[in-house]
This record gives sequence, structure tokens and C-alpha cells, in this order.
Amino acid sequence: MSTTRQSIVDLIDTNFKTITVVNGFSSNLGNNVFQFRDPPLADEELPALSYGDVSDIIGEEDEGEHNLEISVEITASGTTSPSAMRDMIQDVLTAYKLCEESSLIAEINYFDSELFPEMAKKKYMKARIRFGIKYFTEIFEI
Amino acid sequence: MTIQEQLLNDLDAVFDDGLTLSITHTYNGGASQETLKVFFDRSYEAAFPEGSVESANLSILVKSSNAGNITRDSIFTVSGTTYYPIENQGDEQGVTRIFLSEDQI
Repeated sequence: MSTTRQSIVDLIDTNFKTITVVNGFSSNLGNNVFQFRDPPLADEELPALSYGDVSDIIGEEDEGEHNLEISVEITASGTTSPSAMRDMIQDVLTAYKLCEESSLIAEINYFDSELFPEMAKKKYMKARIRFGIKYFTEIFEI
Repeated sequence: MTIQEQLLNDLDAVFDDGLTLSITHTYNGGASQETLKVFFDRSYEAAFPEGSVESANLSILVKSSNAGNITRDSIFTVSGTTYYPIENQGDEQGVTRIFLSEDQI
């Protein structure tokens, strides 16, 4: 039996994988989408989008209310400029916003984003984005 | 001969006659070039504190007396690949280590 949480994660995954230039986005991040990616990324996998449903906070007044936090990391290398990273953040936001059309979801939120540079063999940039999703189930269900 | 003189003589033997690599150093805004004998090191390093990208830690070890022209704007060509300095650790007992990247800052 698939849980509501799994259905929502599947929806997010589907939407993130639509991020391609062919679909009108500014990047092809959708070609390298990973869930809870643990092993280090290789250069040929960049730019990449890794995400996870990192926490679920239950509503104080309604135990059937779920406040799911989605954490997204974009990693890019080489000549990716800060402005290109901002464009990729916008791509993720645009794809994520498609989730609000789902009847499973009561509300979506954009919490914040951060940018990090790193120099090694190549120049790398990372962006971290946090989202929220509110949805409802029966109590003791996710 | 002092110990320091002995060490510097040893460095000459290692860097001038030893098993080092000759690389091209372009400096002075591209107007000047020289050949440097260096040790080229490429060790595994994961980028970002959490190690989320496989990368490499690139550096050259050069005799400090030959490193006088190296600046932030230097360009190094090693076996056909271009590298840029990202950190100069300065003189360490007669040798200087320069950390490199394939991308300019």
C-alpha cells in the first residue's frame, strides 16, 4: 500500500524530472535527479539535484496534519556562474510549484535558499533550498 | 657547510637533476613564460564539507628559489592541461606548494 507521503514524494520526483531546457526551463537539472543521494557525485553527473523528505512535523491541534519538509541540493561545477545557479534555483521553485495542483496537498511553502562556493580540482557551486508541504491523513498514517 | 646549505644543495639535486616534471608557467599577463621543474600531486578529495562531490586536490611542489614569478594570475600547463593557482602556501624549508584548479576563480 502506498502512503500519502510516498505519493507526494513521487509527485515531487516527477515534477523535478521535468526540468529540462526542452520543457522551457533554463537548465537540464531534471536529467540528474537523485533522492537522498549519499555517494559523492562525479563531475559527469553535474549539474545535479538531490532531494529528500527530511522531516514531518505533526500539527499541534490536528494529529492528522502533516508538515513535511523537503530539502533540495543543487550541485554544479566548472563555468557555472552565480547567475546560472540562481536560474537553477528558480527552475526548482517553478517545478516544485506544480505540486500545489495535487488534491493530496493542502498547502506548499518555500522556506529559504542558500548558495555555497567551493574550489577543488574544479570550481563548484552548491545551492540548498528548503520547502514545506502541508497535507492531511488519518491519525497514525503518513 | 651549514645544515641549511646542505639542505639547499639537496633541493638542487632533487629539483634540478631528480625525477621531476617540467611544466610551463605563463605569467606577467601572458607576456612571459618559463619552464619550472616541479612535483605534481593529484590526490583524491571530496568537495564541500560533507564530501558531496568527488574531486581531486591538485598541487605542485616547486623549489622556492624558482617560484619568484608565481602570482595569483599565473597559468600552468601540465601535459597539455591548463591549471590556475588557488593557494600559495609560501616557502617551507626551501620549497613552495601551490594548490591548483582547472577553473579560474
